[in-house]
Amino acid sequence: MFDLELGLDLSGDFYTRHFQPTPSEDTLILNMGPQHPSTHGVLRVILEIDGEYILRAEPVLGYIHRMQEKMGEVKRYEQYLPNMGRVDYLHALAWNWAYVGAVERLMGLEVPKRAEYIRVITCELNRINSHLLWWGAYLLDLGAFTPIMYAFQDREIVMDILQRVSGSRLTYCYYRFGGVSQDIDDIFIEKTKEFCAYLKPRLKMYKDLVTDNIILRKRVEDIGIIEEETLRKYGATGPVLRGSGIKYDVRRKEPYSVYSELDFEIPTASSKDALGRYLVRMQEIEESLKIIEQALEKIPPGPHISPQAPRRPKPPRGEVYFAVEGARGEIGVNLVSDGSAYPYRVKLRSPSFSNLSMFPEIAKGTLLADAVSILGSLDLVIPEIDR
Amino acid sequence: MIDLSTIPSPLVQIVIGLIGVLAFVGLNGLVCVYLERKVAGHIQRRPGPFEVGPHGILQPLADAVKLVAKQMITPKGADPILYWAAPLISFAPAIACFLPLPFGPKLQNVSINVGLILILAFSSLNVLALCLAGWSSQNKWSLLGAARDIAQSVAYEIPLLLSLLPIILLTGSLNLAEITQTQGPWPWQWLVVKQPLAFIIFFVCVFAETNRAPFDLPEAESELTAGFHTEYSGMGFGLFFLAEYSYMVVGCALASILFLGGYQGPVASGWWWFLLKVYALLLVMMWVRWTYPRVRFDQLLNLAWKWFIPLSLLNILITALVVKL
Amino acid sequence: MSKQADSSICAYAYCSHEQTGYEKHFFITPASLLQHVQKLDELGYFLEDITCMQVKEGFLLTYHFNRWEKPGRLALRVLVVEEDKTIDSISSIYPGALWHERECYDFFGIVFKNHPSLIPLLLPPEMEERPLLKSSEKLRDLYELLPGCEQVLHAPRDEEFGQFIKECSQKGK
Repeated sequence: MFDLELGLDLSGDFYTRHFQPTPSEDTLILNMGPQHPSTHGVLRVILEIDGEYILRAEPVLGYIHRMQEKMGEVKRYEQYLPNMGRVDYLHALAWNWAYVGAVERLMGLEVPKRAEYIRVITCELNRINSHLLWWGAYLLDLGAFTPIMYAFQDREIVMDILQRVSGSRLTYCYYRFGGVSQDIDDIFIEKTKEFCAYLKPRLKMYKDLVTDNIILRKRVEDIGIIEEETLRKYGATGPVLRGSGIKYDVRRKEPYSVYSELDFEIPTASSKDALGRYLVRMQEIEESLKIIEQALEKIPPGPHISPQAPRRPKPPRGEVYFAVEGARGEIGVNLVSDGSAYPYRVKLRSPSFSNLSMFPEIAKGTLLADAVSILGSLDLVIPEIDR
Repeated sequence: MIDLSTIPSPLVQIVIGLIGVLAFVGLNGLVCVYLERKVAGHIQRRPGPFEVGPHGILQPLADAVKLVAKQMITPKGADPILYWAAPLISFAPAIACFLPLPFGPKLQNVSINVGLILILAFSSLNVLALCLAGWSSQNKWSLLGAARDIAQSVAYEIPLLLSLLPIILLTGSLNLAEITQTQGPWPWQWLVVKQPLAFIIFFVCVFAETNRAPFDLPEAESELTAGFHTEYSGMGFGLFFLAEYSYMVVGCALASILFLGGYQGPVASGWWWFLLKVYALLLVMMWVRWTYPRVRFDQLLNLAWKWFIPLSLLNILITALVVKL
Repeated sequence: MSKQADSSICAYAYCSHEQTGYEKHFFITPASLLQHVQKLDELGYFLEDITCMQVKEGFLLTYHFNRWEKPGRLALRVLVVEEDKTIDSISSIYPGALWHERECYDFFGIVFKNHPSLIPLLLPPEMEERPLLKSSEKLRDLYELLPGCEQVLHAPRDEEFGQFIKECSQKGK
């Protein structure tokens, strides 16, 4: 569209114009998002489509950008803690962990064994929660309305359990430098055990009811195949990587905390498609249950926070990188300290960012419906991408 | 019960019939909305609407009031005449489809000998309305929805008609009341026993023709936001909604007349049997919607062209041979 | 270039994975960036992220690389001076760098040469400010932030990197 009176090009905003230097008669430029049911939040993807086939795709980010990295520089170390629950609201505890882990590494702070086990248990509970929500939302993308309600019913139990110790239900701020804010009690342990026993038959039911459904299989099998080379060039991590058969998990590769003492498998799938990523996540829920059960058996008595833990840390000068395995992949916090109470530079490495950057490549040539399926199978959390 | 055939003038008969049908369509819309929400709720382990009236029974009324009271917005750049004509074109033929339906032994508005053809002809008009709605909205998602709808309706019209031919061959009639009477009151006397394949194909085609999940591609909300009715607000959307439910009822009514013995039942045949069968089939449609994911567009068309059309042709051939011999 | 520092590959006084999370650090010259990245690509590294930090000397760009197998994280560090805020884009080798480089452009205004579309990623297109730039009183020296790297700053260690690559390829065979 061109406004003759004003002499203005009205064909979309900055990004649309940038996307389309030469308008073509045969293709359609389509804005998917920022308000679109299957982009889960405020992601926008500009598509050039021919019929229903996607010729080009370009994600546009920044609709929920909050400049978390700047906030890190103007807040004290301990003041920045609550921000971590809001980077990725679905796996908030992994971000908590990445940040406190980085500060602890910088200060050389020892974390008591009990605190480490509490962290493992709560972080894995949170991971289950994240995967369950992904499961429901992904099936919603594929047009099945009911699974998300079942997933939320299960999530409710986990949220109640975590609320007991952390005080919040979604955006946790539970970990502290040198431990956790509150010890777990017998009721927590009992409820967690109950939940583990409850979820196992449910997972079997989900498999029979949903995973083995022929319509679902047809929507995920051989859709969005990602080759090893693409994954490496774009730095994809997490279930997206493992869904293509690469056994890379930060919990095993560079073990942090007590993960090296626990026995669990790293599920992989060789099919490289959306089904592979789906199955990996479903198996990860089972592995997380296994980890939680072992950790509950092994948890030693002792303090839940290190006695040397400073309330207002002033780490020495230096730089550290701390990586943890989040529900979506490798979460990294790169911290530079100049010896004051404020970080000099905080860099947050979010897994969804790298995973989404592959999208233009894998969406090329697919149908619109498949693109929705691929986008869902990447398990994106937009606040984490935009930070 | 009223005996419509005792009314002297055919004109008066049609007017009364129309009023009755309109009342039925409106009421049925309310019942279906309530049923849909309750069924969805219970399938999803929640109670569904509960606040308005006892067990939320007045919820559809509240929904209707909301829809009527909402502002009707015409998007900038849309063709206003076509844009507002589309919901009417979608809804009006649905009324005509109810006229030849035999609700009870003597409860039939218009007894014509081509009742089946009339229904099929009028229900095909819906695709035109959806096409207009998508085209005139000046919205790319609507356009995609309309394109999908045309391809889908055209593809599924064929197996739908083909699956009905064996019934016509067997009964030798296009009059719905006559087709009903050729079947007996007991389930083994119904045509579904003789034509199970035709029944399955017909029922699946009804899903596709009424754009119900898992074949709700023209309005697939996770792909096309809301497809052809993305831009409609208020009663514009309400009419599409009402039309969808009306066509569902027409489809289920046809299925129960042609295959399930219509208003005849093992004890005390009458309109209650007819409604029971129709609503049972409607419940199945809702159950399916809230259980399965959506199929992809090419898979949907493959199903029609590669499976249903050859199968229904084969079915016709076998039926014709059996009838002839 | 002094010889004594060459005995240890790591440029830091402390550089154990336990303490910093890094396996290796390399300071390299901006001109040699592309060829080093090319080597890492051949060795099967993947790009974790690209981060930037403003210091008194200019801008320190850090490219974090990691591998699916051992050894682990590796940091390539390039110092870009204030007067010439440009560096080669590595997106021709690692297309995943496209967005990371756009992010650095957003936050610091560093211009990546040969980047196909260096437009704002996270910030609004009309925004002029570079939010992560620091005022001069807050700026620190690089050696203050990264203790033990005083020497390498003025003599970037391209040779060390070459040595490392040689070792890696020998191990691979």
